[in-house]
Order: sequence, then structure tokens, then C-alpha cells
Amino acid sequence: MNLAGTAWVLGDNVSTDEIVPGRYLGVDDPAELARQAFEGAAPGLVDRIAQGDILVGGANFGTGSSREQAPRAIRAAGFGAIVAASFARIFFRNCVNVGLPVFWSPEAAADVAEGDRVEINPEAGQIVNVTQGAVHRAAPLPPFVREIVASGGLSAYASQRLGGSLVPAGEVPSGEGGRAS
Amino acid sequence: MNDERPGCMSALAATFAEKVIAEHAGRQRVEPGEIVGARVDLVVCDELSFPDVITEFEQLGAERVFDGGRVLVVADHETPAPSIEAANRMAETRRFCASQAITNLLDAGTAGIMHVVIPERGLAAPGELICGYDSHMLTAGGLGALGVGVGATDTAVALAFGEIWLRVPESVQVRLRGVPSRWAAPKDVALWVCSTLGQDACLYRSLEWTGPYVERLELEGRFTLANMSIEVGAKTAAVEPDRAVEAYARARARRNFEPLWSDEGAEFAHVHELDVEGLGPLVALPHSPERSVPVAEAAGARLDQVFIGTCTNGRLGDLRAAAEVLHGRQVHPATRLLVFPGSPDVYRAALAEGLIETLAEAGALVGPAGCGPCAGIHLGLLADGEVGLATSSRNFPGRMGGGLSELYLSGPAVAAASAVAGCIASPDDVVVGSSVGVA
Repeated sequence: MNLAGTAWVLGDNVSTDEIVPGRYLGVDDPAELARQAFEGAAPGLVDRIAQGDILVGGANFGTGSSREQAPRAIRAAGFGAIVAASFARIFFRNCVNVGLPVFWSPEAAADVAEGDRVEINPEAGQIVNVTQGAVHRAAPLPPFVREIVASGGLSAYASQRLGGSLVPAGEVPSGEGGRAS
Repeated sequence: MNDERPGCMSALAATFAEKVIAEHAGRQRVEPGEIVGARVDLVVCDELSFPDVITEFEQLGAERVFDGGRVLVVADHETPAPSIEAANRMAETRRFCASQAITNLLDAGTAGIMHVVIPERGLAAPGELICGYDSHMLTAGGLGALGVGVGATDTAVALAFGEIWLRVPESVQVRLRGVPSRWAAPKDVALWVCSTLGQDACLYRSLEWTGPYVERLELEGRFTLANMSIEVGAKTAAVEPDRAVEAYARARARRNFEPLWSDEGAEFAHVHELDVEGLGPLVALPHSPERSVPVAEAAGARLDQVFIGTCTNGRLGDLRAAAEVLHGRQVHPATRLLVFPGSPDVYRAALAEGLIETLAEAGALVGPAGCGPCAGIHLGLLADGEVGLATSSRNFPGRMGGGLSELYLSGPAVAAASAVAGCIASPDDVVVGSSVGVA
């Protein structure tokens, strides 16, 4: 399944405080969370995007608080994926766990400009900047993390393993070289 | 000053993180980059987030938590309840904990900031692995425990399985030598390290704090360094327990434990050699801890509010440092000073020492043990356009209030001095009685 949409570009070190400020942490409704998303970092952003658009960040995207509301709000706002030069660890892990596709690519993050048309082939780890005619690679995810993504998130993955081990010994190959939390 | 060099390698030597994770994964040895399932000694959550964890736990199809005695739920983020919604959340949390035999539910009166109460109550010990729904879980590294912050779904899965998935991190060491100046506390050292290394320097890594400066620190200072490690991106952080730390843990631990530490010759991705000799107090400018500068460079910036507390600086020594500066002085009339002790134990000890009296007489509002306004939830948020200073760990845009508020960070002595001056000031300016201040 390919992901495709218009790119919306943010800078380095975008914190989860800016994605979902603390005063909204008690909000349960994803649509309501989405309305407040990026209130500080990019006011009005969520009103302008179309379903499936691609969020592009710089270095250390999602730094700070562990709030899982951050990736949930980004997804509920309509973004189909995030591409960043690098991700803060807990945010990256939360994205994987809630089933929001994330791609670690310094080259793509540097190249993509706001408004560019971007297509992503997750299986191939390929990020295509259609507007500028450039193709970038995303760092491959470790096999175990790919399994979580393929299941649709950690909850779906783990529900199949209740009563057993979360990570069965010997079944999971090393994630060497990949990006994970 | 900052020599980076790869550590030397040995085939058998392992780092702290590798040893703790191997031990909890039932393995002889693990390698950086590998993903393993690791048993957790404690799963932690606050009361604001716990209803989301309950939802995930139920969606997972789980029925019982793995071990009610190894779960800690702390009412530190929004207690006492600021709204009916918050009260309802806490009521749901109480019901779930009762039905799951979760014995460590710390409610109003017994609750303090999770990272302060975990060691106080012996809920973590050297060599243990704990996880929880909070980015500052790595604070437990001050005790020589491996703490990792995760999200709601991970926490729910950990409650169900008693296990989390972890990528074994590469390790880095920050070796500190030298003696800082009189008013520079571990927070100042941590801010300086943030500004020296940068906000993403230790992304995904286990950060070991070592060297003569660290070895001399008492437990509280070790917690401050471990706590601030998240602000350079670390996955986890640790200080090697000395005899005093081990004795502290032995006196409180609920389980047997074995301290673990990196072997001689273990492999490090980087070793940062830093000299803190003569380092003076610092403040972090808005909006990042990595924008830390000597106090003099920001002196005179007007402050609407000063907040002393948090998992970074809400311990007894921090209140002592604040009270030392505030003793016999008054908070500037144009500035509000809020103090939230880190735990009921800290509060009681501060009362017994007369620190609370000193703070109250100086004009501080002393609030309940807990997180206070740190995460921008309640108890003293900043209005748009207001400027605050806090002893917390981070000051990202809108962190503690309106999106147009500004926040500086410092240690407790600078915070207290600034509350007296009504603007950013060094403790020396206030204690010696120089002319710095808002007229």
C-alpha cells in the first residue's frame, strides 16, 4: 500500500508539548485532539491539510513528553505518515505502537519542500518527491518492528500473544542497522 | 574540553544497559541493535494517563495485570482534581486498581512525583529494569536502576505481559571532572551538558554519568543528572551506585537486588570528557534546555512567576538551597513564587527543618507534593505573554501555559534569587546584596 499526499514541513526539535499541549491531555475524543494539534508550532495547519498528507520534520521530531496523544492527534488530523531526519525515541515508538507510519530519512527531510507531492512505498522503504523528481531511502525498520506495523499496531500484535511471551525467544531476528526504540 | 573517542572494546565486556537487559531477557549477553523481550520489575503510570492505559489494556483483551505488587499508579499529575473530568478519571483509576489488586496506588496525601517516590519507597533498586508512561522514567538511573519511558499502549502491554520489547541501546559515557563554583548545583551541570552536547546528542542511547564529579555526588544530585538525560535524547541513564546509594536502596528495597555496572573495556559509542571546574550557575533561555547560558547573560529579564519543584529539582536538598537564598528575604512584589515539594516525605522533612516556614515567610505559595504546573496541566500555568522560570527539565514552547508564554530553566538557588530580584539573578547578587533587581 502506497502512501501519498502533499508535504507539510516543520523544523527541528518539534516537541510533543507543541503537538498536543498539556492542557488537552485529558481530551479523549481523537477529533477534538486533532483540532488542537500543532496549536503552538503551526497554528491553523490542521485546517489546511487533506486526508493522507505527509508531515515532514527535521531532527529529533517529537522530543519531550511521552504523551501518546501526540501521534494519535497527528493521525486523527488526517496525516498519513511522518518523514523526519530523526525521531525522538518515545515518540517514534508511540507512532509504531499506534500504527502511524514513520520514516527516518535525513535526505528526504532535507529535500522535501512544503507543498511538494510525496509518495511513499513502505515495503521498499522508498520516499519519492514527485514534484522535484527525487527518490530517497528510508532507514529500514527492524523485522520485529515491521511485524508490529503489519499487525496494525502493538495492541493488535500483542493481543495475539496473550498468555505467552511478547517477544518469543529465538523467533525475532536482530534489528541491527535498523531504527527502533 | 569535549574529547570524543570511541571506548576500547573487549569481546566479553558489557555495558550497564546490556547487562541489565540481558538479565531481564533471560540471556547471557545481548548486543546493541538487537530487539529483545525484557521482564520488568515495575510498571508505572500517573493518574491523568492511567484511564488511557486501562482502555488499551481492555482493547488488548487482557483480563489481569501480571502482578499487582509490581504496578505503581501515582496521583501526581492532576491532584487534587482540578476538574470534574479529572475527578472522574481518578475514580476510574481507583476502581481499576482495587479490582486488579494493585496495592501501590498513591492517592492524594501519599502521592508525590513518581520519580521521587519510587526510590523513597523502595519500588526500584540497583540493577532493576522499570518502565512507565512518563519520559522521565530514566531518573531511576540515579539509583543504578534502568528506567525507560514508554507510551500508553506499551504500558498496557507491560501490565498484561510483565514484559516490554526493547532495542538494546548503544551506550555513551559523560565523564565529569572538576569542582563547580559555590552556586552551581547538579542542575547547572546538567544544563551545561545539554548546551555542550545538544538536544539530540544521545538519541536512543544509554547515558552513563561517570567521573570524579559524579562519584562525589549524593543520591539527590545523581537523580537530577539522570533525570536531565532525556533532554539530550537518552533512552535511559545511570550512575554507578556507590556504598551510600546501595545502603539507601537496601534499607528500602522490597526485593533482593544485585547492582550491575559496565565492565572495564566495555564498548561505548562516545565518551565525552568534560571539565566542570569553576562552572557558574546557568539558565536555559526559552525554548530549549540546550539554550543554556551563564546567568549573567540573562540577568535582569523580568519574571512573572518562578516555580521550584519537579522530578528534576523537587527534593529536600533543592528546597534547602532555595530556603538558604530566601531566608530573611521577600519575593519581589511583581513576581509569584510557587513551590511544590516532590513528595510527602520531602514535605515533612522540609517542615521539620523549618524550610517550609522560611519559604512561606518569604511570600512563596507552597503547594501539594506533585508535579505542579510543570507539564502545563494545572496549578499555576503561565498566561500568554507571561515569562516564567522553573527548576523543571524542559521549556519547549507552551510547555507550562499559553503558547505565547516564555519559560526559563535553572537550579533552585538561581530560581530563589530570581524570585527575590523579580528578574533573573544570580544567588550572589541577592545574598551579597548587589543592586540587581527590578526597581
